Amino acid sequence: MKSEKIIYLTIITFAVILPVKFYFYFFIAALLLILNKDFRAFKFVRSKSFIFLLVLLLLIHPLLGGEKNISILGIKYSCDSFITGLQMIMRAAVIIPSVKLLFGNLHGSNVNNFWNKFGLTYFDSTFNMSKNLMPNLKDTTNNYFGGMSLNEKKQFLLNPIEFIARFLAVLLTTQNTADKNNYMKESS
Amino acid sequence: MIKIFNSSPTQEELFRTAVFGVLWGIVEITIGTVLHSAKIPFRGTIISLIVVCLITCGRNFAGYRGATLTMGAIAASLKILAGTGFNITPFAAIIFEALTAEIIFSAFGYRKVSALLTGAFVMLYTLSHGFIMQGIFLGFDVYKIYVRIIRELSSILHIDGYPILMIAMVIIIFYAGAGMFSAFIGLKIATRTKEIILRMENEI
Repeated sequence: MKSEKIIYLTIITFAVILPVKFYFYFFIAALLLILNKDFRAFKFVRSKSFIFLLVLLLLIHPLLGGEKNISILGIKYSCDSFITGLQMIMRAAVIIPSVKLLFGNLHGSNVNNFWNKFGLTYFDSTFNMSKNLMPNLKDTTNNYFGGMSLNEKKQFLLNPIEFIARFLAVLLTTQNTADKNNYMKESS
Repeated sequence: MIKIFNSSPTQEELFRTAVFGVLWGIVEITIGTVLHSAKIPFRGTIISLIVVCLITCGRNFAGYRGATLTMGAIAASLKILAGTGFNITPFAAIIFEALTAEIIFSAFGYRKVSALLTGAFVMLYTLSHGFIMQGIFLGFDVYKIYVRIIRELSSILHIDGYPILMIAMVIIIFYAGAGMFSAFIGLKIATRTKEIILRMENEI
């Protein structure tokens, strides 16, 4: 697992710092490696934003920018701009799945370690409190908003600040002291 | 292990951090999912406005250094554990928003001006999030390409650069203003909540 992380980190680093003339060799090797590990990491290629970037960098940019040195069906096209766009797309196609695979196995205790490494010393205790809070928060929310009369609901729309403040007050105090002490004991 | 924040919060403050972290996480998971499935435009902006409100309100209750970043870390972790798995863009958005707010609050302390600044900068980050992520993934030369395309298109369509610049300025001012308004609402909620809590404690 650790060796895999090193591989992905190396791929990301090389993708960022590698000189342009080595791009194609590196990216083909990196793409094959990632495809072999998990081809689902390439799901992003179907997203609208990625397709938009493809069109922009491989079609529109060569049509508008750079020296037009190729003519396809009578339309003048810049080969240099096309290659620049292709290099950018390849860089993204390697970095995005690598980052996804690098952090993709974050779960449970892994998450705590991850944030601790970044210097968030109080993450452990607060995250444990958060997990314990979730079910009670649902109950408190249901009781607070579900128990509102029609008149109160109208007032909520007229003065949302007051109602949200009341809800927060309930959450921060009667999310009750006994439970709060329990969370604190459990998390410490 | 690196210790970024040299602060020692009370258990009460940690509890409040947890509460606001959970609220942020729930907003990201529930409202985010609903807006995404309904394909509502500007969903990132809508969520960010709610988040600004939560951040400014939350920092009022947990005033130690690192509180906002911890809230963001909780929200991001809850989003990962909620079943959607690791998704780079929303994860990065949450962390950068939290980091922006943390830097401003740590540098200027918690006051009205810093809260309004936080609102403006978090919203400006939201506006530029897509471009920043494109810069990271595609390389920062992508910005040169955008500028070149805009220049070429404006010369083809005979549009002066001035209106484009004006539109961009209006959008930037609108986002910053919306963020400041949201932060102001967050401050109002925090003040009112404190009053209610005080009254509740006095009644007991």
